[in-house]
Parts: sequence; structure tokens; C-alpha cells
Amino acid sequence: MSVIIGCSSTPSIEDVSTKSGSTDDLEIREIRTTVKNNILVVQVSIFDDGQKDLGSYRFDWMNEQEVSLHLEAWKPLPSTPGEIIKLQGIAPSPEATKFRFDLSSVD
Amino acid sequence: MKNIPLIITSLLIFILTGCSSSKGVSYGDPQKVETLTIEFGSTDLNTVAETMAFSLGQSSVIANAPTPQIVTLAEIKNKTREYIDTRAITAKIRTALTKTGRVKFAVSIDEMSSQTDELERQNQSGLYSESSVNQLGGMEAAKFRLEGSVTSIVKQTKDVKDVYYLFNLTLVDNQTGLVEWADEKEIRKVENR
Repeated sequence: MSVIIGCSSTPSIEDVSTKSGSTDDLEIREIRTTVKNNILVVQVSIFDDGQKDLGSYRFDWMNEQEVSLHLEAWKPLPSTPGEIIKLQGIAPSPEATKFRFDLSSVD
Repeated sequence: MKNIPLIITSLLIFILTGCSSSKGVSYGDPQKVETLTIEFGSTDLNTVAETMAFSLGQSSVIANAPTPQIVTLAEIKNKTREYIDTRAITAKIRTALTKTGRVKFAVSIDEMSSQTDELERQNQSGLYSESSVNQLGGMEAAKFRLEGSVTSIVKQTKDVKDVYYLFNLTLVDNQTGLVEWADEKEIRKVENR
């Protein structure tokens, strides 16, 4: 997991994300973070290579000890074949200094 | 005699169908994406509430306040032709923001009746000890109110139905009338028939 230092950082994608289900056509290209008003803000760029199944995503916001503070509900990914989707997540409180981004297919 | 194989086959089909039936109740994940119909659903409710709550939580008026801000919930107008329980949206937003500890909610207009009923009961019934009674005139007024609207645009052909929702939410300073925060969430749902 990455520790957020300074105003902006680019954590390792493998460290902060998971993929499950039929998401082979969805590629997480970039994850960027910043802190605004003491709140962690995350932007995830996903390339949709013609995903056939409906995809969904969520953020799991954690404290410094990686204890989950808030696990979001799954949200649907817009279907945009051949395009990059940019998703933004906002932490619920300043205590949420770490996160995990989950990508999955909808059953 | 000629009908015996047919009768046996029918009986077997009947028995196998009965054995393989999947009736009964099962529990589902309330957080999962639901795509049963194109109407406003639980996924849309969760998406709007979480997005708006956390956006408001990171605004400077809330995040940078030295003490928790006091907010009251006003109306979210449903301008669509569909039944949408907007109070469920504001209830989820209130829960999410309350959990952050940076916002306190004052009773809304809809909840005022139960608040005044309780105060009257305590002060006028003569049943409670004076030291334990909550006094009239002690309520805290909300500095801000949260209000908004939801609209939709529906278009359909023989094969496709497209529904676009637009949620708007604003935080208004009750004293100055200034909009201190505003955000919107768009949702588009497409049904192929």
C-alpha cells in the first residue's frame, strides 16, 4: 500500500487495486492521488478495450493502520469502448489516508 | 399399452422438474450493482448519496471549520415523472456525513413535529423531574441547509430506452443566503429491448 506524502503522488497500481470477475478488457492505466482540504482524493484512469460485461468499481477507505473505515457500495462503470474512463474517489474523512480500488464485473 | 412410454416419460419430466426447482428466498448483497430494470434503483441511490456526501465533506466550508457545522435537511425536489424517494437520498447523505464527525444535523422541518412533541411532553406533563427535563428555547439553529433537485430526460425508440438523471445539491448559508457549496451527479441508463 502507498503512503500519501505531499500534495500529489502516483502509487503503484498493483499495490492499491484489485480486479475480479470478467474484467480482462478493462485496464487500470493510472492512479493519481492528491490531498484537498486534508481529504484524500484519488483519480483512477481505466481503458475500456470493448468490455462486454458490465463493470463496477468501489473504493475501500482505510486509516494508516489499513483498517477499513468505509467500504463504498459498488458503482457501475460507464460503457465507453475504446476510451479512457476517469473515476474520482473522495475519502470520507481526514483519517482515511490509504485506500484500495476494486474493479469487478457485474453478475 | 402404446401410451405407457409416453406416460413414463411425462412422469419423469414432472419429477425431475420438481427436484430441480429453485424456489425459496436468498439474501443478496445490498451494495452490489443492480440492473434489473431501468428505473431508479438501489445502485443509483448509493451512488448519488456517497458521491454527494463525500464531495460536501471535502468542501472548505465543512473540512476547514474549527468545529462541526450544523446543517439541516431541506427538500430535494423530484422533478421527474418517476417515483423517487428523495428522503432516502438525504437520509443516506446525513448518515455518511454524521459518521465523519464534521457535520451535525439539526432536525428538519419534517422532523420538527416529533421534536416539539417531545419537548412539550417533558415540560408540560408534570411527569419528569425538573433537573432532567430539557428546557424550551434550547434548540440549536442550523447554520446551513442542504437542498436540491433531481430531474430526468427520457428518450426512447422501438429498441432503446435512454434515461438521464441529473441530481443537484446545494449548501446554503441560512443567514446570508449564499450558496457555499454545490455539486451535481449525472447518471445515464440505457435499456436495449
